[in-house]
Amino acid sequence: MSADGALRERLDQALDQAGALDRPGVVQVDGAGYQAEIEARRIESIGVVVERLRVSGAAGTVAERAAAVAEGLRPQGERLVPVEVDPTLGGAVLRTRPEDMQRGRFYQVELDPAGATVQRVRRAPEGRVVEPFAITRDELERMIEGLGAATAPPPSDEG
Amino acid sequence: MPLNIDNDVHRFKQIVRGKVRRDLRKHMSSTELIGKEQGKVVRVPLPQIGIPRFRYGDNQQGGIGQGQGDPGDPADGQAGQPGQGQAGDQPGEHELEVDVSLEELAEIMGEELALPRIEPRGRKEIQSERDKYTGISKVGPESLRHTRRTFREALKRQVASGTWVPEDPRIVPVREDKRYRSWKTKSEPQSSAVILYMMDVSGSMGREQKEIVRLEAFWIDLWLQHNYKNVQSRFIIHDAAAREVDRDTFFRTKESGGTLISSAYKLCWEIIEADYPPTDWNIYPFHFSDGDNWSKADTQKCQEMLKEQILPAVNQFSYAQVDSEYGSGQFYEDLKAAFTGDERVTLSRVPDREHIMDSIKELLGKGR
Repeated sequence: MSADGALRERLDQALDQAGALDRPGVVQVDGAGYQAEIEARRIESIGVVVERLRVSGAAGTVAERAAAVAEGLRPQGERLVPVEVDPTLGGAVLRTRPEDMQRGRFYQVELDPAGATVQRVRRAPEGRVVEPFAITRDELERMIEGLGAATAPPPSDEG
Repeated sequence: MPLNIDNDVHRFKQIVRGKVRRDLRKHMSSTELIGKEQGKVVRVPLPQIGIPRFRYGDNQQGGIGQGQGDPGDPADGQAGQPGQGQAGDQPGEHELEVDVSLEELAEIMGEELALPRIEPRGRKEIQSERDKYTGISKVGPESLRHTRRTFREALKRQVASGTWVPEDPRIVPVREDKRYRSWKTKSEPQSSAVILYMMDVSGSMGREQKEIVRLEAFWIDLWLQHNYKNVQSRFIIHDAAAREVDRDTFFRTKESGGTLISSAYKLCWEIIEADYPPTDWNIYPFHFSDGDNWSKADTQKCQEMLKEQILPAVNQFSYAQVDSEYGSGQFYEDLKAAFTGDERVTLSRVPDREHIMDSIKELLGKGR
């Protein structure tokens, strides 16, 4: 259960609505101080095939955000490591640790001044190939929550 | 007639060259040669060659096969003694190292990779002056006196004048007999080249990637120095910003920042503009990266800088992309799409250190 208790409920509702369509497209869910956009290829009752996940929101310095993502996010159990962190460019790139990579596949999280984007990438002889990744709704919720916590300001207690 | 030892030395050199050539791929992917570079000579490990040598025996004892003996008797007539201590568990060290000049090494690499000789561009070449002894003169400073010629003249004179006494063979040169070395000052064209090394040292370039760049740069240096008398090397490192550094810093720096390749190309062009007029210099920029440029906009900027500034000024622009654990970045493909068919651009991918040799062949194979 998420700290933002209603997140899962809103996520399920949005996914179910989109899942009823032939082409699900982008599913939007509001979190606590951030917004998640799930570019879904296929939506099922237990899992989702995601092409790209974006969470909007950026609080703190890029180094702090990168450290928070590396600390708090474990997509499908893979640990992330900051590969490039550049305050002057206002962004960072995190990837799955090489030892956690599975069959040449890794998660890539790009932080920019407006948010964070997650993609699954496969190492191929001709270069890198972005691939959709299958994930359970539970895992997707945790991923959104982890990115939200790292990239968005904590919700205010007031009001 | 050459001495027998000359034949042996020549044959030995041929064997060494053959061994070096056979193991060239291994040498090119190993830092051993670079570490052992001393002046103009490198020490090449050749564990397979055993140098034959004579070992003298004791003349006081009988030779092998002399005297009475039974099967199993020790050859030296002494009873065998058990050894002391444990048997060793490490392999013996019998590695032989031979000195190979850098010139030879470059030749071997050139032959093995079938690299064409580089044709310097038909532009103004720097003239260098060199003094060379070209003949014999009857006048000159005593310090240049040619003793053998002088005595030969004296001998000829003594024989002709009948003062030569074979029983008392004394040769006394007089002033007219003296001969001196004479020289001419030659003006020789000397092609000059500058190599501009650029390396991405951003966070995504790991230790192994840098090691590959170091190895590749060593062999490129070697080949270009073999082709030009005067080669200068300049080093640029970059992440999101570029700066010029010395060779040592070039290979040791590690940054964590993002990658803006255009920053390196901008500095490269500034150096060319300031110090290396393209009319006088053969210019070779080499860029090494994992190809993870920060944005498509910066890649576009790089392509424009190459087209408008760098390429018209250089002999050849070379880009080598080193793979990391995360595979190969996009920059290689972007350059390939933009410059396919342009003879001034050579591109190479280096998946690992085993492919350094192939990459060098790709980069230097045009002979430009």
